[in-house]
Amino acid sequence: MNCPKDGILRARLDGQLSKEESSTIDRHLAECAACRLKVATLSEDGERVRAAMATLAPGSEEVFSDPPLAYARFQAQPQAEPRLAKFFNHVFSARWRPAWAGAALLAVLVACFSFAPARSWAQRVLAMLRVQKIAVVPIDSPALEGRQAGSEQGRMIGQFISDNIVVTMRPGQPQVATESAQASQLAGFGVRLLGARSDAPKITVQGEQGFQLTLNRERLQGIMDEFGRTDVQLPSAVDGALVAVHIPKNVMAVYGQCPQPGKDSAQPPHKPSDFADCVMLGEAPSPTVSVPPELNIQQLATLALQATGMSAQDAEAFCETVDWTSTLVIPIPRDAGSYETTEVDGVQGTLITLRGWGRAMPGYSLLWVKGGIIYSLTGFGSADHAVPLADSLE
Amino acid sequence: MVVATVEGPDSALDPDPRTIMGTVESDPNTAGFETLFLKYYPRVVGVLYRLVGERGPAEELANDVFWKLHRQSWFAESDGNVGGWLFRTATNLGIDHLRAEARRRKREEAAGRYLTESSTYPDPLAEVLRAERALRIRAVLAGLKPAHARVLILRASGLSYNELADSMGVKRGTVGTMLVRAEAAFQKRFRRIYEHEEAL
Repeated sequence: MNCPKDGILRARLDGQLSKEESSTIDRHLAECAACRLKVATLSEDGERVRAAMATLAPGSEEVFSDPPLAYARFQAQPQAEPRLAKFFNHVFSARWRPAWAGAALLAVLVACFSFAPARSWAQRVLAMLRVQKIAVVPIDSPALEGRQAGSEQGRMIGQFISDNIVVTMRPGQPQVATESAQASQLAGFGVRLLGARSDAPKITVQGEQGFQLTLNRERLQGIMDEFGRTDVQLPSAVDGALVAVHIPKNVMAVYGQCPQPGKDSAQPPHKPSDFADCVMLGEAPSPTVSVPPELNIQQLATLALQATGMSAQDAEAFCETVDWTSTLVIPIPRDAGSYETTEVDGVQGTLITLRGWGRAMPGYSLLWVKGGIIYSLTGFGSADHAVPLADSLE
Repeated sequence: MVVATVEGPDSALDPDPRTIMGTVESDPNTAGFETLFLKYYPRVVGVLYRLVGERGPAEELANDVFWKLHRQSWFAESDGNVGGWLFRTATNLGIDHLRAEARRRKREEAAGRYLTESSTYPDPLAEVLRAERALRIRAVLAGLKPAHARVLILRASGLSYNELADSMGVKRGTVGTMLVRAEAAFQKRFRRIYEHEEAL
């Protein structure tokens, strides 16, 4: 046999090979002086490092809490869960997961956010980004679809987020309002409802939220690598950059029978006709993202789109057309739906029509921005009703 | 500006993206969670102690690790690979903590304020030397690539190659290679920093 790799010899030394593998290696070692020498070196190195690492082990005088005691303590802590980015679920309905986790979150991380060392961040005047309009970018998603590795990417991003986010403001329980005046008072902006619907909506007002995210270039680059984009290099200034996101109070009005957020796994599969009368109306003042002013958002957005599988050229071309400081960009998988711009509520809006995709039901979401408020109107079935419904807002 | 997108529920992304966004009430099987907690807590604390070197912070970080698990909804259906996730999360938190400490110490040393903590051990001199060496080893770990630091710390904590493969998200066959590389990186860095003061 050929000389085994160092890693195999290491595993042999650690007794981590199967019997057959071990005896194959041993036979080779009996014949190969070079490999015996290699094993001796590996063994010495391994032993040296092992001894060094052993210094770190807790001494016998270190007494840790019993697991049951630790568990009791765990249970006793306040159950305040950070409910980040509830905003996304309001703009998009329960069923339309704001996820596709990989691309979206990576895009959030990389595209929106900032690039100056954290130590200088505090002293700088921050640039504030606000949503004024909405754009859709169709993307191919070869890196994400139908491959097992997708779960590793999602996991890496989830881990990155949970490791690096600090919640600065928790929304608390949503408040329930019975009519628009009360909702407006709770939310702090004028809430509008659908005049074309005679039934009373369930109105909830979600509290303010804030969170900060510290970027770690090495791990983000690792995620990029995981997406197969080793050619995409993040700027070194990414490392340690601190980004602050503030999400104002926002309102969700649910008409008719709609799917329950987060409970779809517990329910039997639904047909679109089950939710024929469901319409979800979201109203949210623009969230603000604070970033260092020297940030080159266009460059980062280009990188983020590349991470979703777009070519560098296409990503650049798209980014040229968008003012990244004021545009909510919604990437949709090319095969999941279509979109068009349309006049709605006196402004330009975007109507996204989703084909049934996987187990998802066909439906639509109409998005527009007016008077600093982002509106979303989501329903199932035909998209023809969307604009007339939206135009009935009062 | 915010970027978001839409998805059909078929995707097998894991952890559940809704949980990433914090929009789902986690509803873990409580009994299952307790079992996992009791089973893994000692080893998770052990890993974290090696990284941070103090009982209090190690237990706090272990608590955070399980809190993060509690927020995930995927683990209830997971096929027993929760250990890998726990160890990976623990090393991520531990390494971040270690790096933050290393930066703090550097500042304090620069300002001449860092003092060796007093010791209550039977042999104070030996203990001071051991503590000094542990400090150096942690400083070296803090400067390694996280993947290298992770494999070293988890191997030293007694994880098998199978468990290491789960925690690192790699195939079992590559664990040996990762260890060899990590050991080489560790020795190189230790020697570069401390060659005039202490042999490895």
